[in-house]
Amino acid sequence: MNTALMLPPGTTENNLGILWSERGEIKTAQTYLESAEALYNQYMKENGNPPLDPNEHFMAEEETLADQERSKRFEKAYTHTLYYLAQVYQHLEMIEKAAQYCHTTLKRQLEYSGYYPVEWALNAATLSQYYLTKQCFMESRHCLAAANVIFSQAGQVPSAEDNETEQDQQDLRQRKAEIARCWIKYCLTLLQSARKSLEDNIGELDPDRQSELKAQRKKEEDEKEKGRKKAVLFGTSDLCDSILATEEKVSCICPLDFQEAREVFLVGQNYVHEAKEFFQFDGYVTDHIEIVQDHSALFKVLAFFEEDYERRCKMHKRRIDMLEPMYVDLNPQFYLLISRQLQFELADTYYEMMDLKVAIGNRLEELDSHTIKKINSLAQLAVKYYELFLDSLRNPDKIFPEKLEDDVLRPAMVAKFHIARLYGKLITSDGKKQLENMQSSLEYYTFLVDYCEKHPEAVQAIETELELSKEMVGLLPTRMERLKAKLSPFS
Amino acid sequence: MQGITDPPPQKGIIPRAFEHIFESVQCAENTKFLVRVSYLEIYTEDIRDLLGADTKQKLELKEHPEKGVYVKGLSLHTVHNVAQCERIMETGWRNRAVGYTLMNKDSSRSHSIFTINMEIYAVDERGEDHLRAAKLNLVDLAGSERQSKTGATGERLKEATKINLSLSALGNVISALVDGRCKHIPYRDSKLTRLLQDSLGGNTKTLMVACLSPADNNYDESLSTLRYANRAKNIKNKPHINEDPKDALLREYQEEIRKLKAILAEQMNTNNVSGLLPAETTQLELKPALLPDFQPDVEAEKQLIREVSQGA
Repeated sequence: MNTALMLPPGTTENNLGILWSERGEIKTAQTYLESAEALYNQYMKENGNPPLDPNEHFMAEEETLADQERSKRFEKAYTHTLYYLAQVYQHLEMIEKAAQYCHTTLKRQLEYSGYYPVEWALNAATLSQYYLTKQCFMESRHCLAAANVIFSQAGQVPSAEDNETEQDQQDLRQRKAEIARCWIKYCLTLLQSARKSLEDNIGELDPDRQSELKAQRKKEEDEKEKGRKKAVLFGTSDLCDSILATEEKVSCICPLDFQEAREVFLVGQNYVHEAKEFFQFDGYVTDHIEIVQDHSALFKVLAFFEEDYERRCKMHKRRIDMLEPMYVDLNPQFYLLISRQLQFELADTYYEMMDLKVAIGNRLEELDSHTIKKINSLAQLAVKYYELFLDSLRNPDKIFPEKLEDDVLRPAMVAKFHIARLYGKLITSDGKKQLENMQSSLEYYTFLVDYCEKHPEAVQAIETELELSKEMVGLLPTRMERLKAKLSPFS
Repeated sequence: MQGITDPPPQKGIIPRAFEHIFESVQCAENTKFLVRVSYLEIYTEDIRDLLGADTKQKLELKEHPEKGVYVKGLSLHTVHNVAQCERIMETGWRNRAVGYTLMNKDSSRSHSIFTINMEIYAVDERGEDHLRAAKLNLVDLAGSERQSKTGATGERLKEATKINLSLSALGNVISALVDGRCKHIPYRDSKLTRLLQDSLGGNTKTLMVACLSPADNNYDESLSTLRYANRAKNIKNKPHINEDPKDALLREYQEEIRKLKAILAEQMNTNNVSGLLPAETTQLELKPALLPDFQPDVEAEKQLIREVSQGA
């Protein structure tokens, strides 16, 4: 090919691609852009020297560009091709391909130094979240580590104008906190994915699975990963080294025991503190709460790995301690949805703590009064928060809706179901009290059964709970009769 | 939104809203009104006060645990009549930004929110006073509307030839990959949705009016407005409540139910059940007849109990 006679390969196709996508003909655009990509690859294989820039044809001889500049422009055009392709694929909902092209675009931006550090770091961090949804932890971690390294470059460049510094500083701090939040999600997802692979059918750690996975891990020891790694590596030499060094601080393979889980947890917790520094409760309510909710979720998943029930209980207590004060401060009128989330999570946490206390109690010879008191108060607190959640569903006239909205149907039913069970769990030596509790329990079970009878479409959402409720509705009255008979033997 | 002032039937929704409000204000008795307006623009996720002293200054979106979402430093202007409103609207309108870059129309679109805050102080016949407050958000999602129709093609072609475009929309492309999958997206911090949070997701009822033009040359705008309206309709800030039913609980249940059944079965065998559940006696007696080789095994019991409870 004669470089002097033609436009740089791909230029025309690029423009045609843009033109067609502007007209909404994405498919046509795709064809042109893909051919631009192919042309570039072919040209680089056959020629390799950067072609003349289109503008050069109109320049005087002595003004023509140096090879280096020429190459830079040519490569930049190709980067744009990739970037446009990423958009086209995204529009065509070829998500994986789109992600791959986004990744390559980022990579090339680094290679040819065509990037703003903050923006680049944020893009990489966002991309990491995509990899998380695909459970690709190695890629996700690489993106995040690269984001950290590139972001640190941004801080070093002194701002030119002094009057804008404060705004810029604020902006930088926010971006840093945003990246930290991406790290939190990474740690959380990693732990949750580990939990999923380790839990048995009742949601507890399965030791057989644990040793099986451990043996398996030794065998394949990142063989597979190494191949994948090459494909995604950002940067060259120095940059790459510092990215890899950042990576080493946290694992990208699923933790299999408490020790490993704890390490991931601690990294996540550090980022929680970092993110909270910027996103303070006063001023960033929603963000702050989301971060704390993630913190709580980190504790929750860590508790899964903890074998000691007492210590597990303490972890849940930590969750309560961070969530409860926030909930109290919140105006439910403006933050209705968040309030509901918090109510439900608090209720669930109290519930879990009660369950743990019961389990601890069962190991003892005899339940002492202190444990009983603790169990009862935890159960009551759980009931309180479930009730608060259910109350939030009432309309302004304080009436519980006839028909629940789809998005709250399951939570509401689960809340009712849990309350029913909690009433059954309350420990009392007073027969009358016990009867009352059973009565309340029965009422909640009955609600579930009645609701599903009236709205058969709800059955699907709570199949298991409904079946159990039906059985309990059938069985509880008999039990109550017996208790009644026992209480008044002479009637 | 603004429409054309003359002829009157072509007035936009904002001036009409003004007229309606002040008409009501004039008709009301024994009440005092305070009407204040603010006008802001969201341009590339930056909020700017269109009525402020410095319209270039970026404002922060803040939240307060008690008051909800607000824009820090947004100026509020008290208005007394329609003419004043229109003047203010005109001022703000002129301060809006126009921007357009290739292939990222969405990010360059500027939204504006004209908010009318109303406080009503009324004294009822018993002499008690009531203070009520209301807010009307008039959101303009135009953007494409302001690109001149003529010469747009030439403009686009010129843009298209500029190969040295910034990759600024890359963030949008990437964040779209994660959208709706519940992970953290730093870029997708839709200020518009945030600002309207209490209108969209709180306890309020929201009415959305989309203004469309019947003209065929407004096809694009009409379509994009309808698209947004459709999207906005679906915005619900869903309270994805994290609950994972513990299966251990279910196992425990089964245990409890088994125990209860055992007790029941025991009683059945000794014919005690009719004494316990007198009302259902007839049904219980019928049951064995329906099941010829009736055995008091657990499955059959379960069936029985279910029917008993349903009959009850």
